[in-house]
Amino acid sequence: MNTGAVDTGPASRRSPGSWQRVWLRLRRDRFAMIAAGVLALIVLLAIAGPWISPWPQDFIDFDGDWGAAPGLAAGHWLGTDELGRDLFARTCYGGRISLLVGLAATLVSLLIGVSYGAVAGYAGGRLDALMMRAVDVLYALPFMFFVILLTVFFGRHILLIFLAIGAVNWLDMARIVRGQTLNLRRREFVEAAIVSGVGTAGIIRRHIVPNLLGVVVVYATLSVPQVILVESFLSFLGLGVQEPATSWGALVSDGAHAMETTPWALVVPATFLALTLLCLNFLGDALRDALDPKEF
Amino acid sequence: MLTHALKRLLGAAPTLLLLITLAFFLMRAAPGGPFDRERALPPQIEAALQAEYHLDQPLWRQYLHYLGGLAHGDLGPSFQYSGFSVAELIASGAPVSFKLGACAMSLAVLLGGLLGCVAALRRNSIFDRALMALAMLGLSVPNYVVAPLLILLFAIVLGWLPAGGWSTHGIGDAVLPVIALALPQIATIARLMRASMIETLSANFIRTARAKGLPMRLIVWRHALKPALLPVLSYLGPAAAGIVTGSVVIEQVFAIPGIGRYFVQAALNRDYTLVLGVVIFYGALIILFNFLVDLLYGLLDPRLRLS
Amino acid sequence: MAEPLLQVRDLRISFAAGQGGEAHAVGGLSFGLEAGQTLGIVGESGSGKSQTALALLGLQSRAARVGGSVRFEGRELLGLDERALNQVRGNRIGLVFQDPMTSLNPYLSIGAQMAEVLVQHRGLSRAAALADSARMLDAVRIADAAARLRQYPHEFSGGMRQRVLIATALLCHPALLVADEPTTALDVTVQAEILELLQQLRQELGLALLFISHDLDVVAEVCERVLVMYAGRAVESGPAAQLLTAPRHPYTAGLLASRPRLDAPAGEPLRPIPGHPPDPARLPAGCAFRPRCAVAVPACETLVPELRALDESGGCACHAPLRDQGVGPGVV
Repeated sequence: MNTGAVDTGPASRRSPGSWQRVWLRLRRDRFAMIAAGVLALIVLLAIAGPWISPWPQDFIDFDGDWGAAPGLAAGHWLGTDELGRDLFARTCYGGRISLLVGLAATLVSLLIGVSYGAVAGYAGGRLDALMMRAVDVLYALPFMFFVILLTVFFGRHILLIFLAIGAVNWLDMARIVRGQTLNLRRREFVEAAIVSGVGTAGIIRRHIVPNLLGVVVVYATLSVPQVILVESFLSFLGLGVQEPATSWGALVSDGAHAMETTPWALVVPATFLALTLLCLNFLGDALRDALDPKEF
Repeated sequence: MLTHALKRLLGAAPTLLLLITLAFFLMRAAPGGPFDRERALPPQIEAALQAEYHLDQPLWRQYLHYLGGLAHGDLGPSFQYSGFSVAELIASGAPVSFKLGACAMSLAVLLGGLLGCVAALRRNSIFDRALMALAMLGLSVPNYVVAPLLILLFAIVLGWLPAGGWSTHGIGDAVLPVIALALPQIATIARLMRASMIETLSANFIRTARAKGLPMRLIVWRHALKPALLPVLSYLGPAAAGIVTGSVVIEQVFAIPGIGRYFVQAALNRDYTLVLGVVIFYGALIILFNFLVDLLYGLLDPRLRLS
Repeated sequence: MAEPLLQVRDLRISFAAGQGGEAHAVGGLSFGLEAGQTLGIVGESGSGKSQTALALLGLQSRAARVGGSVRFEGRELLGLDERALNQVRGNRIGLVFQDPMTSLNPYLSIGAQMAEVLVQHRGLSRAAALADSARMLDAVRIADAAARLRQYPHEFSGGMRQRVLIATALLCHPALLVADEPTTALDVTVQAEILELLQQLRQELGLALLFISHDLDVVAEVCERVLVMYAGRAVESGPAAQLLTAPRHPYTAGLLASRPRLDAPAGEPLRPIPGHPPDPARLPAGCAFRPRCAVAVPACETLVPELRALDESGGCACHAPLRDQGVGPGVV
């Protein structure tokens, strides 16, 4: 290998061209594009829906029928629930909460997971072995029950819920990032940077982090649906979001209780929830394929 | 093989201990809980707590007492169901939950494995594509969404199967809950099996088997199945966790008197000891299952079996 | 004249390569092999030699398109259905691959993997098949054969595994053994043992041998005749001794010059062929070797040279074949 001034910058990073290629490959995946489109629509509805709807989400329409079927006449486009609340408004509002929890908890798990994994992978040796052993042990814990335990012991606050989910959900991320970092550290451009006297912080910032971006993006995409699942699971059991606030999981639960009289109250939020999860899973898979299947 | 088993056991034990320890101290740290001295409790519960948890002693002694009790299967008294111990409640729900879980697990492994194999052998066919799209759907629709929808369709609209209950309508009771519980696992196992079978079929030793003039049927059955099953086998641990978790909602939706229902009631009513007991029970169950899977893994791999 | 044991004519193997293009792994390869004879195919990786071996028995990947003709024992093999091919594979033609470490199923005992061949092709009982397998392990010089049959692949070294694979390929006493780089993954000493074993078995069993390797010296040691491939085509063929001493094709000469030799004068540098083999999806017009060739003439740019007989023993596909000016005296 040559010595002297080695410019390790551009070669080590994913060049703009390669991101462009990822984008092109993704564009060619028809399913992924459809998924992205549907997802954008759902997000838009969740954000704008409560403003579009003529009814506030917790408004009880005493004038209309309680449990009105979907229709345009009464202005309750997707019907009302047993208590006469507008289902469209509630589903959009519930979507806000579900998506927000998904994003926030993913962010928490990214922060913890990436730093933990990067440190373990970069340090290597005994510290790495110790840190990963700890992850293994935590991994074997039944994580859903842990979240329930936390909500039981510390109350059912929404902030607590996504902190709890994020705090438990970082394990996957830590493992993946650690593996990638370990790989990168052995690569020539990192060795070259070390030889040419770049400090540890500089190497992590300039070489490790940019190269981790791909995995992190894929993982985050796949993690959001997982978190939404956990939140809706808790809300379904009545342990998550509390009335009058709501989320898709809570709506599905309400709908399930009243499905004999108002089946739409079950079908509407269930469809939104399933569609969102499906689109996110599709997108995550496609993104992984587009980035580079060999990296996983 | 024996060393393999011992090593795995050494791995499982600290996990279980960690679970118990974390759960115990979390319970103690909970504000407003039964161990919060600020709160006034009825005298008989106060006395029971005192007797059970040795609250007058230092925390580490309390912890040791709790561990000692656990070793005898003593999980303490329930807060909610007065007169019942947590262990009794778990024991009363266990057979039902166990049957439900075992059926769902068997269905998931058999059907998921079979579908995955067929998809791998007919790679890129219409069947394969349709199945994988369905599997993606199965992954994305959680079982607490599937379960009410199944009830809506098969019990309410079609009226073919009962909407809930357990051992009141004979075997029909079990059909919907087992399917709802197994569905996400069927989807996952089918995807896993397909990927693993495709990878195995591209292995060099499969090429050797083909060069020997063996028919494809025999190659799949004798040469490819076992190695392709190993990743599925190592997924069984997480699958068990998924089924245990799923059973909590499924029992709720179908009104099945298993552990999961107690658990949800306990969680809603903040019955601390029962929640803690069930979490430890579930945790121990999953850890035990992982350990058994590890043993089975060792039994199947000749490299581990002989050394 | 009677038809030879194996007659390959105009074999073509191609793969679809993005945007409707095609990658030609093998483009019009012809050769014959008489019963009991040996032929070596030499080429760099990517020259299409392994693809050729797989295509003979219909084992090419599903993405490959194969054309031309492969006649074996008077029967056309290309286009046969799986059932009919399975009666040839492992029975009339044995196949040994490059990587012995991964070519045995790690989850089955050696005995099971050998016996199944005889059960399949000969209808033997399991016990009889195991007894025959033990005899064949003996024949490939594996001691204590009966006990070894009960063992698993991880209990065998690489060289031993290759012996097992050879024994398995020979169980049904095939007329032809195709060996694709059988020694490449092995240590040099083990490599020599395997080569010697192949020689002995060939004589004992009267096998025809198609030996594929990137190593001209190894091929020359085992084979009477050699065929040199470049970019999916035969560029030169002839008796091994002649190819080593008096190569006609510039590529063969380049191969000879680029290999390290113990008998070379000290300090003489290796002379690698400049450049790289062409991308099979973008073969140049004319001779595929032209961009790397030192003696190219104008015709090389437009005309693909055909393999022409230069004398009764060999042929060369070159517009400007070398004449006894190759690379000094080679020793076989």
